[in-house]
Amino acid sequence: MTTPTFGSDAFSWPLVGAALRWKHARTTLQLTLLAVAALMVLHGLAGPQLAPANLATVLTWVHYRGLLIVALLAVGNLFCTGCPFILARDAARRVHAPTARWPRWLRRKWPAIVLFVAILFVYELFDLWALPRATAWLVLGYFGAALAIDTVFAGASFCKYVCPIGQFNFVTSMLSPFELRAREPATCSACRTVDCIKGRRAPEAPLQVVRRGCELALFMPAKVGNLDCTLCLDCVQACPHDNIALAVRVPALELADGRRRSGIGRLAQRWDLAVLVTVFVFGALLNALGMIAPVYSLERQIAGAIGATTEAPVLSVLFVLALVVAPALLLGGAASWSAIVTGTSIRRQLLAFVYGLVPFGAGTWAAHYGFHLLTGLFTVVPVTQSAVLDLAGQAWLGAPRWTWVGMQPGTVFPLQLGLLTLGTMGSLGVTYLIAERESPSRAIAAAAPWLALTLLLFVTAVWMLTQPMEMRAAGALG
Amino acid sequence: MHLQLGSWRDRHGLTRPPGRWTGAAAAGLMLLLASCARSEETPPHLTIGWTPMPAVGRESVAEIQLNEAMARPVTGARLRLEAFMTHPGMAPLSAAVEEQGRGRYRARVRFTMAGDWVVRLQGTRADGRRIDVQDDVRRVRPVE
Repeated sequence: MTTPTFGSDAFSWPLVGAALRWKHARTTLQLTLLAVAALMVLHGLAGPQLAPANLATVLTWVHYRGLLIVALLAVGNLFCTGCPFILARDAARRVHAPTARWPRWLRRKWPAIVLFVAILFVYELFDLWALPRATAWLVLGYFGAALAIDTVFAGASFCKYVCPIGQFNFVTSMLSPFELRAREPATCSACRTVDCIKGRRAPEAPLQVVRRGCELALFMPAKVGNLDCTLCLDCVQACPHDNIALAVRVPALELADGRRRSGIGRLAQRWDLAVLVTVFVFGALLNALGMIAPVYSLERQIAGAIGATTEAPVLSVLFVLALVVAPALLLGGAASWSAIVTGTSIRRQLLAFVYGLVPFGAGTWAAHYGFHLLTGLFTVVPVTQSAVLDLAGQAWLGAPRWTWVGMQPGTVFPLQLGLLTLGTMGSLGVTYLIAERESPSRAIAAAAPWLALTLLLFVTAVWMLTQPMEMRAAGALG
Repeated sequence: MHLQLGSWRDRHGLTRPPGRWTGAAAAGLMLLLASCARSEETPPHLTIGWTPMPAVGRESVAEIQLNEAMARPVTGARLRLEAFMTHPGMAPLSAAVEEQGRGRYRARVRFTMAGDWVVRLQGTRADGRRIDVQDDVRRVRPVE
């Protein structure tokens, strides 16, 4: 597959381009999110421990998650751009500059995958959405982890190898309509300083970096797609030739791109990335399952089968079924089928085709988190009014208007169905492109099991959407 | 564009991380808000009995008993009831609260969604002191 040309460069757009290229653009966004995070933590720790009336829980579990996926699908990885953890990290690095390198044996996504699953598990086990104080501690813990890791290890070790939100963003950003790319490849070929990766040096002192290069080891001339790109714009600021574009592109096409990627390698050779994508896709269904009524009877059945009286072992079984057994059977089955058809290995088919499921997974996350965002969009108003009352003792913003909520749940259903359908169509298209790449002469036959799997997952997700919702703060066992 | 930066920062290969003053201002604001926060009242003891048991779409009467310490009933309080789902972002309910005497109050609530709810009673005692208490309503189900 050749690199598709792009039609437009957002950096050249009026106003938008200038705002994006402003050297303080990222810091401004980070400071804004830092201020919001500070308020969330303060209210989470000191405010009422009633989740719908606390900024920590409302902003984290309603607005942040929803806006995160909207931004990823509509623009790009903006929440990594504005990540306040990195602002805190940069401040700490002024005091202590790290020198150690992230251990070679950990230079894969495994730590982040474990944390991703752990957060999904803890979220369900402790009902984090209902716990303002725990949510505030989670935010603080995140700051602490980013600080601890990135003040010991150089580069963006936390972002690239540890941060579970970052991995979620990286995977979803493969569907984003924008990508940082070299504007003129010939300019990069002639470049001898490679500032985009090494950082820009002061001419009078070549050892001094005055503009850092990509901390995630994405070398612009060999960068393919958005995976591992935090959209920090360091490369843009560092490039002395102004040769980096924020290019408009066809979303999701990179999922079928088999080229070697700078800082990543080939997708089809990375088991960790395949597992990350699997957790992303099946985790979307599992996370949504926790919101619907049938999960109660399922949990009771599991509890009866294993003789459990507490939720942890029941949830553990549910997670193993959803994130290990189901993927092993479904992905393994599809890969076996296409391996037989094409005469290649199961491993090769699995590592090639699993990326085709990413659009479906993103559609499922968007349908779920979009529901919470749209039905609770305006709750930030009364909760902020309430927070001011809680923290200052005065209704400076007026009495909380609890009637400000958002769309009625029923009216969101068509949008959810649309997002799921769009994601599924994307998966069908990407899967066919992967099949054309892998087996040009037998593309339809090779793709068939994966197309069938995608449709099966779609039917499952639609069934879940049509189930009665049950917002809970306690599992089936109490 | 070449940037003129402090030498210690350059030695560490770092660009200027702005936000020092903004960060200090934010910390100051947090301290100010925390110091302005009102002192906590000792909350009264809340007991709610439901008739019939709460179910989606069915009106239930909340029989509320509010007692101070030593089982002394809270009389003459002006209260409002709000019910929230435990998951943030869902539409809350509100209901008028009528005093029945001897610390007993009554409200009529029609729950709109299945799941776990929290009932919050807010208002003021007869002497003007604030009341803010809450109680869980677990597993509201559709009417069977």
